[in-house]
Amino acid sequence: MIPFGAIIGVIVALRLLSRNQEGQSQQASPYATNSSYLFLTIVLVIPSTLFTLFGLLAGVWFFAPFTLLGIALCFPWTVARHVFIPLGWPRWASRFSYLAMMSWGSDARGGQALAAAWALLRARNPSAEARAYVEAKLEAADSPLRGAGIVAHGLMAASRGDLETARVLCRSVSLLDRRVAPRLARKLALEWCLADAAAHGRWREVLVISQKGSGSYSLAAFFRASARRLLAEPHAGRVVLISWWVLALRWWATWPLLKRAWRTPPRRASLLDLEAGETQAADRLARALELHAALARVPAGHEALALSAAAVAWDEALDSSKVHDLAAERAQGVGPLAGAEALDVLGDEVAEELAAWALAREVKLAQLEPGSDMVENVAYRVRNELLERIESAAQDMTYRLAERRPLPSEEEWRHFLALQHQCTLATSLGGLEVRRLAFDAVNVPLCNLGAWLFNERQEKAIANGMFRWLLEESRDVGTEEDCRRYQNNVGCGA
Amino acid sequence: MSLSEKDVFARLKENAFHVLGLRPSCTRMEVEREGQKLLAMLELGLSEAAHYDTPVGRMPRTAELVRASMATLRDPTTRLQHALWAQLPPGTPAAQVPAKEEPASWPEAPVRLGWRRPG
Repeated sequence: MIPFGAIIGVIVALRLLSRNQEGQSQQASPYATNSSYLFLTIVLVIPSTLFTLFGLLAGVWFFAPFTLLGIALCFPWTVARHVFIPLGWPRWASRFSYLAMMSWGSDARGGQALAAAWALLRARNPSAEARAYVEAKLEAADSPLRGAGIVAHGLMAASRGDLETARVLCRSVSLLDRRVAPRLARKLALEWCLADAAAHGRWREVLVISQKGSGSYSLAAFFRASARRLLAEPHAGRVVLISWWVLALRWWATWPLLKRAWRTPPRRASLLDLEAGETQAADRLARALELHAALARVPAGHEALALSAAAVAWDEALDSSKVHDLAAERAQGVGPLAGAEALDVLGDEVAEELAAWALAREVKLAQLEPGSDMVENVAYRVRNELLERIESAAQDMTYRLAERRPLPSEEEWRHFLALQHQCTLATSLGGLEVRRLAFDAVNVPLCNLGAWLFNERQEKAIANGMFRWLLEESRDVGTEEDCRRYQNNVGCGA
Repeated sequence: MSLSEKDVFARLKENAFHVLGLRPSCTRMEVEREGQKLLAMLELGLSEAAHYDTPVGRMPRTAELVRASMATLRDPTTRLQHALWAQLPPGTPAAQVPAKEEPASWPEAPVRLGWRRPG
């Protein structure tokens, strides 16, 4: 008897898969999920697997390998995630990830690249050939670049040891339209970011990431509850912690974190500790220097208070007649005005150092004590530096656009992210006024970049991500015309 | 140089008086004597000369740094500037305040969550 049904099924399956491999050019919607393998699984893989399973149960041992293969083909992502990725086999991880196209929504190629890059990250000593394979998959995922492709680039950067790029890329997935950033990609990006931040002890960052990210709600909530307890925040209870730990369903993996967060929170050091050693200085200059030097050891969360205290002490020191007398005494033989000039120079140097410290520690200017000359001087320098950085980066972008110099899609996205990060930092430190000035500086170059990517290079997903961010900014600090423009641009799709 | 490229406490860390272990009231003769003594000690590799104290902690001392500090203190204008920054003696209690006990990191997180291979 000739098994016509099976033969026809195999032919249909092969045709479906080969059509997918050729690029799905006839898809009606750019957001359509490719469900051909699901169809294939229902009509062919499941019945065949059941057939072999029944044969196996009837004692035909010949069917055993086919049953195992059938089960693996029924759950391709589970197999890729729990077998090939931990083994560090990029090729097989990518192949099985391709079969799991349903999980990757509109970014199946990005999903393949992501699985391959993750397997490479897990490989003990990845060969040059394996790296080249993953690079090729990343290149394929770049046209057009979407959510899973961006996470894949992030994991590839992590496998090279470039964690900073990996962080930027994995976090950026939340900027994209959800139709081009599959849930699985967002979930994996969030989990990687959480693991990375926890590994480096950046628990405040864990709080931010767990609030902003999406796709892995329970695990993010467990990390948030743990970070809050570790940072000794008020109302960070054990009940919440244990509840999210249970719901996250990663009991074995997160057990050490649960144990650590469960213990009594560490004593919260206060600035009182700092005050204890602050009264040693006999004169105002020494006191200002003492508070200045103490900035080197200010704990996180107390920056604004410590900086204000140092700035006020410097104001007092630079106005003090005793300090002027001291400077004049030290300047004997140099010139009659040398003492006063030296104090002017000292004031500038101090403002510069305090501004550099405020930038390094990301101190919010609005939290500084108002009314101090030194605080105003520092705030001016910080704002100036932030805006100069943004203007310089925006100008570079303008020149590049004028010359029509394209970068690879992933680099275009990173370029945008760098500028967006500068604007976010400027807003966070400088407030609404700086946000408005920053938006003015980046509005035109970013809009032009987005239009170029969308219209001429067909990079609609990342262009849409840019327009979404610009729309958000224009709603708060832009004009009505800006809002209308970006609403239209976002409405053009991803 | 932009603010972000600056070493925030450079003026305390590289203060010529701190490098030479002197106070701002010292004479030019003392600067020369102390400088030469430190250079000789560094040449012999003596451990006492290898570091110096500043209000923001201990710093490594090199022969180049000692020579540059001596040159700085020979010029009355730059000496005046350094003298003002050196008004606070090194190792003052405020600088020794212990930093807040930051919660420890969880280095095995990427391994536990499947992002890195164990070992």
